Amino acid sequence: MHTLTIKNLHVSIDGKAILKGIDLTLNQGETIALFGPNGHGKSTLLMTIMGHPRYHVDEGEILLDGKDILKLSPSERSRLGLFLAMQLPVEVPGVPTADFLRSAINARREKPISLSEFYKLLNNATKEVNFPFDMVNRSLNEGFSGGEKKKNEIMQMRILNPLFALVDEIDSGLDVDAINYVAKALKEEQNAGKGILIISHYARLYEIVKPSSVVIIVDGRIVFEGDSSYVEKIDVEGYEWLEEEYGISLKKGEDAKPKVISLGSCAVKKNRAKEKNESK
Amino acid sequence: MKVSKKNLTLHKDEEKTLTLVSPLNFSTLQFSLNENSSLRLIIFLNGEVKDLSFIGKLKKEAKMHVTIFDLSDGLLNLNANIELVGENSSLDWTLASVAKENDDKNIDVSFHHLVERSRASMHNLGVALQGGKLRFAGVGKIYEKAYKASVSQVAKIIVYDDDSYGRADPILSIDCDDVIAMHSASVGSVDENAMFYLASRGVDEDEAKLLLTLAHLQMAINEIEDQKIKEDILSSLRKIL
Repeated sequence: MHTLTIKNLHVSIDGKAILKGIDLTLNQGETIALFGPNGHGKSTLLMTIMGHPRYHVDEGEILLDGKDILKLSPSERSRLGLFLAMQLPVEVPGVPTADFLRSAINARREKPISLSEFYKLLNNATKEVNFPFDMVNRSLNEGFSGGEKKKNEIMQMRILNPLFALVDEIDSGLDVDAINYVAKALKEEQNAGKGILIISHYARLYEIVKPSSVVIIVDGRIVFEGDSSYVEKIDVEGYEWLEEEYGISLKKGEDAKPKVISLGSCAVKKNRAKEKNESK
Repeated sequence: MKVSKKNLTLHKDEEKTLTLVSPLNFSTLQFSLNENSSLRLIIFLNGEVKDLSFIGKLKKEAKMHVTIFDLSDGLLNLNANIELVGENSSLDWTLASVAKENDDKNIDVSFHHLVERSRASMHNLGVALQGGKLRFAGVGKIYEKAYKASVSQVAKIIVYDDDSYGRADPILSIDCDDVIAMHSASVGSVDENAMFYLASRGVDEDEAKLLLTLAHLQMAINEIEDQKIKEDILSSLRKIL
């Protein structure tokens, strides 16, 4: 079984600490829903796992199947099986989407993919996410609508077939039909046994892509871990219950109250034990 | 034997296409385009070139379209000094240049609008990498009586690393008060987020640079109709990057 392990990860951007000691394990076949208020480090975690050069790892480890990947470039991490579906996919004027995809596919192969095989792959992937085929001849993400960019991300994920998908707010800005296409594609990834670490603020996506567990990040730390029932709780109640029920401060930086006990870790252990007992 | 100067005259209504690949047998091309004539000039520079000049005049309704793709080695001083002396004369200039390793390239292009309703556009697109040096100077001079003249200049250089150097100086000199003129210039490193995006899909750094360079120089590549030359350019770019 493949495993992505994050140990005591501290990350800063331009000298400002964002992540302050993240510990997380994602196994193949699991889907972890990453929640937390805006600006508390969720996207930073995903960008750091993928190796964006702006995100500086001050301390900690990221291990893929036990091998430290921190010294690897983003392209090496990608070829090892990581994929990041971005919240704001970058526009790259002048680089045709099809040319870029072909380069990405060939980066994983000894022999370049034939044109016919490539177009067959592309044709299937575009249909799957309802992405207009003629758009693959346009510059990468340039002039794409928000929905088209997100579909393009998911299409790339399907084509590149990673071990682990890091999915950052892929449903924001999508209409109902587009969410369904994207969610179904993610569901297929789940069914194929991929590990998925997903950020979304909306329960609708999780109705189709049901997570194995929920993790909440506040002020750069994981403060709570629970089962998938917490998706609904967060959707209905937000995050204030963390403070009311568990005394977890939702403030950032110096104003934040120091966390004394990681209730979330206990919760997840209890839930997992409960699930094991139930499955017996 | 290399002749230093080559003269080219297009007669009234004559149309001509010239496709040249270095080594060229001249260092200066002096041309005169007479009334309603049309010259399409495509040049691919590779190997050593050093000095190359274009000096010429466009008369009434004459049209000239120049595309130069420069992958030459070492020193290059390329100058163009072109006068639009006839009404409704029209000039399109696209140059792509890659400066690598010990290359030191100075591209100096000047267009002079002397009469009414002349039009010129200039695109100088460059890449500096592996310690290469590249400088673009573009001058659009509109004289006093050149009413309704239209001039545009674009200069863009991507500098891939700290050892390389790029500079673009777009200059407009306008002595007439009824013209259309624009210019823009950018010199900068490659977009970090674009590189990350490509890398996050497994594309390695060299391939990402190639994709971004082809995108940057796309306008010049697209203007080259000869497939053999186009393939040679792409193949040379792959070797460089």
